[in-house]
Amino acid sequence: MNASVAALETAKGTAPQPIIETRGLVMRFGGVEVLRGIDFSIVPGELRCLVGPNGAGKSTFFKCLTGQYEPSGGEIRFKNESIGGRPSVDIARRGIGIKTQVPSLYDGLTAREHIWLAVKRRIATTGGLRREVAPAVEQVLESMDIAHLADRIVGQLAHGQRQMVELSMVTAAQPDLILLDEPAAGMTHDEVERLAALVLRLRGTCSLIVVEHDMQFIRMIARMVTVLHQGQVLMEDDVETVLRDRRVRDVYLGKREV
Amino acid sequence: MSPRGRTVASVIGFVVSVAAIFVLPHWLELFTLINATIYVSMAIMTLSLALIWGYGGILCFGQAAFFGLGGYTYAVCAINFGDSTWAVVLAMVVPALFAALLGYFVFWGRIGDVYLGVITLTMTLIFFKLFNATAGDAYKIGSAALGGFNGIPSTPPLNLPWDVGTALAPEDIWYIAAGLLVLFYFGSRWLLSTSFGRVVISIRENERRTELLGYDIRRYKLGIFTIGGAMAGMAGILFANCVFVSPTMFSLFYNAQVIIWVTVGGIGTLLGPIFGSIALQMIVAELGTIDGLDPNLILGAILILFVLLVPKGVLPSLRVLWERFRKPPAVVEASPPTGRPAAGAQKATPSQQPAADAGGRS
Ligand SMILES: Nc1ncnc2c1ncn2[C@@H]1O[C@H](COP(=O)(O)OP(=O)(O)O)[C@@H](O)[C@H]1O
Ligand SMILES: [Mg+2]
Repeated sequence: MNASVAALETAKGTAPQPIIETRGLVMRFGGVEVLRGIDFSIVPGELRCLVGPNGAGKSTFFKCLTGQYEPSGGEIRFKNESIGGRPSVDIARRGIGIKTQVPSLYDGLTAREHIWLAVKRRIATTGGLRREVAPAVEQVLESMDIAHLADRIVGQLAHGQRQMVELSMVTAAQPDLILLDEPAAGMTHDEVERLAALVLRLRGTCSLIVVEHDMQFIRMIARMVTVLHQGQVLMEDDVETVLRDRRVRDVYLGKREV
Repeated sequence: MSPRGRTVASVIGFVVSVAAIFVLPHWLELFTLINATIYVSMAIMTLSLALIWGYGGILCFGQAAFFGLGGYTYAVCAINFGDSTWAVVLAMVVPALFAALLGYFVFWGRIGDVYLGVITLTMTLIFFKLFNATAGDAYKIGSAALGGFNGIPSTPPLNLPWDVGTALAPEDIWYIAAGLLVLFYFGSRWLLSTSFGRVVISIRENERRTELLGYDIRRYKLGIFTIGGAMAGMAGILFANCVFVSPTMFSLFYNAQVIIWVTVGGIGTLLGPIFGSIALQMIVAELGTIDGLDPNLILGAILILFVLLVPKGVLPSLRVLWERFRKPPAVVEASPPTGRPAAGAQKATPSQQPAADAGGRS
């Protein structure tokens, strides 16, 4: 729906209204400025990759967007409303979902219960009926290809499977904006490919910001890439231009094989 | 256990416990029956802590506050009204309201777990001091003298609802107490299976995650905390009917006892703490008759022993044993089925039920 609105606005010749936008976003811990004035925006339906060396501030940026940190300065606007510093619950209900860098699951619960929690919340927020929940849960389990894990205790699953459960839970909530913080970390090659396919499938149904280091993966999914370095946006361009850029190679890619 | 196995076990457990409730009064002497009623009222209080700590992840060091408030509210109201009907209702409502008020400040103020423990503990100490200081005629609520250190020895027994003439005998109180324990146990299980209960469990497992899914975790914590307060209040009523209310209900000893019972029985289970509390009360009472053995010392020793040897508590450990016993070949045939990811399939026995996970934080 958002994508079509964006398309409409483009057709009228006006620039589409960003779904999320930060202006001069600053995050300080004590005297340390971790985010130093970030201007960032994406349009509805867009998939943006966010890259940058460790410590660049990517995870901190996500935590500000989801209300886990209260920004020290600047503005965050989501669907044209200011959300900076609002509680996480409120932001989640407005439609931002996140898969955090450190896996965040319920180790004592089954995979099905994970999905149930997400679906239940979505249906409650959208005013749906209680009996819609159970079939919707099964549908998510099927479509995310984790039905065979449904009754397993998540604490006993392998790392890649846990990543998939977490991802399924985040997408099951059907947020308008999904933040993925290093979703491919620790996954096998096959799993990464499945993940890429999934992300591509999500594109168009919602907006996504994906933090990743794996260039192969980024090439598979993204067109536009934003490079973060020492809490600032270093550059923002299409994948190939970014990968060719010397500054980017210096700060980040030079240390890795591309 | 499979869902079907669970249902069968529940039905058997229900039948056995109902049978026991009706048989015991014929077997036991009156004195022992009254003691058994005390054990059962304590088991209800333990269940309330098992619920809010083991499932809500809220470590409350002050469950005795709700217990004592329930007892005092009951005694004061029953004396004033001359009828126990509304006294019972109020004796659950007052502790529940108090829990709600306290919970509101704690959860909305986002006070950490450790502080919550300290606050709840301090609160019982305040009540203890407060009620101890109520000796003399100045401290009367209506016609009920609070009695300071001595409490209210004239705590009236329950009567049939709106029927003042029928004061209940100790045997009747036994039926009510034991019946309520069964009711609260199945009620708690039902509660935990509802949407509300499942969200509460998720908060215990990972608070931040539940918040990021868009749940207002404060409401859920407040809800379970309030329910626990009401349940402890009910325990206080029953206790008051067996003994009488006095400031010791707010004492450190009662606070510590329930925590020990829950720990020994198994955090994250309901039956463990129930049976743990009854068994430990019996053991301590038995050993307490031996000259020179201090019951407090025994209880302390039992706690240390369990924390060191059976840290998960009795019931979860028994479950693990049972799973191992039941499926010994599972490890052998664990060669991963084709087409499934190999990793993780090795362990074919999910030894923990979700509910059995010892997940009380801190
Ligand atoms: N809560 C915090 N307190 C102090 N410093 C922090 C905190 N969180 C992150 N940092 C610092 O901010 C910088 C950026 O961290 P982070 O956002 O995790 O980077 P990235 O995700 O890009 O690797 C790091 O130097 C880190 O040490
Ligand atoms: Mg990071």
